[in-house]
Amino acid sequence: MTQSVTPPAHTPLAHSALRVLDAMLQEHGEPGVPEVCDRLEVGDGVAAVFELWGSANGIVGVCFPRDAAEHIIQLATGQPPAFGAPSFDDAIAEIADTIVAGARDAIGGPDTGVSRPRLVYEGSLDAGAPGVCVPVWTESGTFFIWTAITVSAATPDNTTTGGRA
Amino acid sequence: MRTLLVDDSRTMRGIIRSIMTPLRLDEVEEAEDAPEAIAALDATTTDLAIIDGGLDGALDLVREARRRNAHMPIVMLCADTGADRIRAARAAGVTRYVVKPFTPDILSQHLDEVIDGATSRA
Repeated sequence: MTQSVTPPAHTPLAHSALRVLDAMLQEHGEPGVPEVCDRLEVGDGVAAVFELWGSANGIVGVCFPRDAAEHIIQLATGQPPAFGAPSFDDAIAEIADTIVAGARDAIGGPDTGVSRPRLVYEGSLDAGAPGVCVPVWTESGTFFIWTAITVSAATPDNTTTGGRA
Repeated sequence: MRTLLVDDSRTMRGIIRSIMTPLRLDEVEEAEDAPEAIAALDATTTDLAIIDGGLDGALDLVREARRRNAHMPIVMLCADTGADRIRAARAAGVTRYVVKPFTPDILSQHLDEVIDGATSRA
């Protein structure tokens, strides 16, 4: 039996994003105000999209506008970014993967599977369910965490981690 | 000291290598998955292994590495802080479990300590 509810995963994901940027790139920021949104607008940037299955189902997206993505990748690799190149994809995927792995407690724990990131350039994404989008303000620019998750009513808690990290 | 660095992300390998350089860990073999890492272990002597804990078959790779060298320090880098995962990593033979994300200083300190330990044993 499932409930159509969105667990409060966006805040832990935003804080995980800030931890990753702070630790790996010495980049600082703060989360903005979450808003309900049915679609993730990728715009001119790139989104790393993770599918969830098991006790929590849905989608998590980490969406970087192009300017922010390029600045962050420059920090991560020390190289001039080549938007859309394989090395650029690798860096975006790794940063997004570390963000999501750092918030596993909040997105279902060990009974939830999390896919590898799928990168989406431009356009928009529709999860088919209401989602929450939270901006993350950083020195490199603003990027967005998008969650559209439903959880099983039978899931007692989400306090243990598991899966890929 | 010959180091094997195993991570499927080229970006992460680059970040880790930049942290290793000041520690004079400049003899580095890179592998992006477990089979490539095992081939590297079989091809040459390895003094230190740094393994991405999120890699497919990461714990099996640790066991294989440990089977080949009982004393080599093995550092696992992983975002999973679950007690079960850490326990399993240690049981497989991980010497040091470093939680992602890490600052350069933290990883450097962990590497420094395992290098010191390995050097004092030699």
